Amino acid sequence: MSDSASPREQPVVLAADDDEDILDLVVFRLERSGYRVLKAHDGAEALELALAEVPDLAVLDVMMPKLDGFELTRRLRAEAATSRMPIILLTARAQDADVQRGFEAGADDYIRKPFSPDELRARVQAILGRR
Amino acid sequence: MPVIELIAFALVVGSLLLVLALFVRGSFMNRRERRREALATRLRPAAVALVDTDTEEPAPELSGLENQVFASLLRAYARRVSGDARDRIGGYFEARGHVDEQLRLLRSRRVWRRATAAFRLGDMCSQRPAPELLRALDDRARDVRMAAARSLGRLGVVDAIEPLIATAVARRLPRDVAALALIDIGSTGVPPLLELAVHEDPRVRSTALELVGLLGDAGDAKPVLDHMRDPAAAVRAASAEALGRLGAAESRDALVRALDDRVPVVRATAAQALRTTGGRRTAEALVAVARGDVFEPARAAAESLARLDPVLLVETASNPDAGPHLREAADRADL
Repeated sequence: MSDSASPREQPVVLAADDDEDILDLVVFRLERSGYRVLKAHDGAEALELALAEVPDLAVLDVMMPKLDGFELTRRLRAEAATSRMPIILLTARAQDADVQRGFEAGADDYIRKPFSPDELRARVQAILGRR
Repeated sequence: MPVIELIAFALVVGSLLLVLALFVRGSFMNRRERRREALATRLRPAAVALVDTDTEEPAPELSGLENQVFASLLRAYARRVSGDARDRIGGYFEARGHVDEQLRLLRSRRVWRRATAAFRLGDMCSQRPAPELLRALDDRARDVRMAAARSLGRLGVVDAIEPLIATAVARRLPRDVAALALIDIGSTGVPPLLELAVHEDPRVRSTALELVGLLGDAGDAKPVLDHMRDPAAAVRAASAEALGRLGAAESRDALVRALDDRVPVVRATAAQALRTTGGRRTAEALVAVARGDVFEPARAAAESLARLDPVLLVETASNPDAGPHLREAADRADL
């Protein structure tokens, strides 16, 4: 992916987290990897952005105000425009039950927090590369 | 002028000076805080770039307040990242002398300085302060011990496992602070915890086994099974609880046998643990406990049965000799 690509040629990733520090790190890593990134600070804002812009992939925090990551994933799956959009959940929870809950809601993958920026890039590239 | 008026005048002047001093101090603090916020906004991109593993950009040269703000941004990021990003943060703090500075403050005579230093060292991603943080677990001030425990957990210092448990058992550290630190150390802590499960002090054994349940996985169940025969009831209960969390089917027989333990809390914990391991024989054993045991084991058994086999629960609860716990659980199951 070259830096000279126009915004429309770049894959678009939605990043949603209410933790500004994590959002900084996620956005920086994804932008450096050649993606255009849409930022959302809560679940409701993420839903609105996802429906308006239909990104190629979404990285969603599980614990967000207004709409948590599980519910947001379910709503995105219920909308025709975003029903097939890959979703990666960022979860601070170590319980396998929460990971399972994420998959049941329709997530494609998950990353545990604290997270590795390299791992995030690799997962995003792996999912978008399959499409 | 009478003395009383002089005193009144002096008090008024003193009060006015105090108000003025507080106002000036408040203004100074506000201005400093605004400056910190502005610096944080300006320095944030450079801090993110330093944390990110791919960038080749050198860390900026900073001085004074800039240096402090940049360090606080990196410490905040340190709590949110793993892997190589942490190594880069640690490298920065070591190279720029921040680790040495905090180690110096950890030897300060003032408690708040030692506690702050112990806390900050945990977010500097450097293993170098581990020996001094371990020593800080014996600090005379509780705040310092708590901050050191938290930092040892954040840094994943496996050597801290035994001292953390010993300090908590000796009540020199709140149990939940020690537990959070041990959980932070993560699954690499399981082998040393299993070694502590044969410690002479039953409080250490039970804490270690409880933590194996929190940090381990089904593969760690086998060594825990041996401790179901420990002479101390607290250790048997902790083992049962750990087996329930680990969820390995191989622990089913030992947990069913523990339903006959002479101590009610062990029977109750085993009954609760059985809900994750399942099995037909399990359901039958749980019915017997729910029907005839004392309050805690009976209630735990009925609730586990509701999870494992709700149909059998409802059938059994309809019998005249079912007892209150089975009926109550059946009512809640609402089939």
